[in-house]
Amino acid sequence: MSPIKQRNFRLDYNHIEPLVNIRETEKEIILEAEMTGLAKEDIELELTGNELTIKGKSKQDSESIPKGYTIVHRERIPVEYQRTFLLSDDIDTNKIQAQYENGILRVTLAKSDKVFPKKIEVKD
Amino acid sequence: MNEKSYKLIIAIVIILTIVILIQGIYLFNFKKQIDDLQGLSSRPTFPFLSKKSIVPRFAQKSFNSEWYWDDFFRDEWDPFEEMRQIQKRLNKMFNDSFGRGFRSYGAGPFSQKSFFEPDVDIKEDDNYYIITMDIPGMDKDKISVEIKDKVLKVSGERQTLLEENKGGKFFRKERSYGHFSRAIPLPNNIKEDQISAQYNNGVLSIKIAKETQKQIQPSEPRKIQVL
Repeated sequence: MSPIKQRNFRLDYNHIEPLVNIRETEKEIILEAEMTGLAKEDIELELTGNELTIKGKSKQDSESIPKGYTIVHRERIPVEYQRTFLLSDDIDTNKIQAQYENGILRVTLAKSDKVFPKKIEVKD
Repeated sequence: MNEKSYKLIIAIVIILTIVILIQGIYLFNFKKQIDDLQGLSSRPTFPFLSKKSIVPRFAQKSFNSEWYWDDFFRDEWDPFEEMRQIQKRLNKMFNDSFGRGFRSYGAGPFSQKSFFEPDVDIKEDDNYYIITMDIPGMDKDKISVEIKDKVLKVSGERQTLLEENKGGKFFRKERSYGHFSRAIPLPNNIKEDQISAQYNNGVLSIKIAKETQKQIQPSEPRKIQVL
């Protein structure tokens, strides 16, 4: 069972769900979302209960095109990224870290202590 | 609905089909006429329809089928090129929306090879061309940008984090990995030695200087005396 589930609901048409890779390491679950060309300030992470929402807004036309320039060809369109995930109880929501580098948002979710086997000392 | 309206619909469909067919034939002939006027057959056409010999479009430039070509700066409007562009955009849309969850290493249900195509914007002003490309998650050192014979080639390899992921497993894998390449033939008025590239937040932007053309002075009308 995946510790992270995707929350499905309808998005506005100019909202795009960023592509994500979710992988597990020994102590963490790492979520990497492809959000190209944003500024660090434009990225928002929200946690309500156990719903984690990642949001980001790319620069609109007026900002991204330098003054005096005209468009010859265009494929890249300004978008708003948004995606929500449901976290299971195995994740410690107090220890969420996020990092943005080279267009990838990396969210590190630590597994909560109760997942790991606890050793109980035998008393005399 | 009665039978009459069914018949009407069928008639309309038949008429539409005929119109589309006629339009297709017209466009095809039109294209051939343009080519004949220009004295070139730019693309291999169907051999049974074309009388001319087939001349490859990029005869002077070395053409490598591995490179993904886009001739953004061509002068003439080519309806076939336009159709190809639309086809490409549709494929991309299908891959983006239906490829979710299916694709691993960039192979969506509609793409045959395991590479991805970064999106490109091209802007210009009087002095520069700016080419921007979305390539998230790359190592700066693993992007190669080269220019030769006025063709800009950008390529690289996005690698998986297999090393880092030893013993772990993927729950979800939507991002594509693998090789990418794009070749963009540039117009002739560029300075090949004045190019700079930057990689920021997953966006590669390449700035190319233009040859500034000397303004041709509007000449005064010259009077010629009649002797």
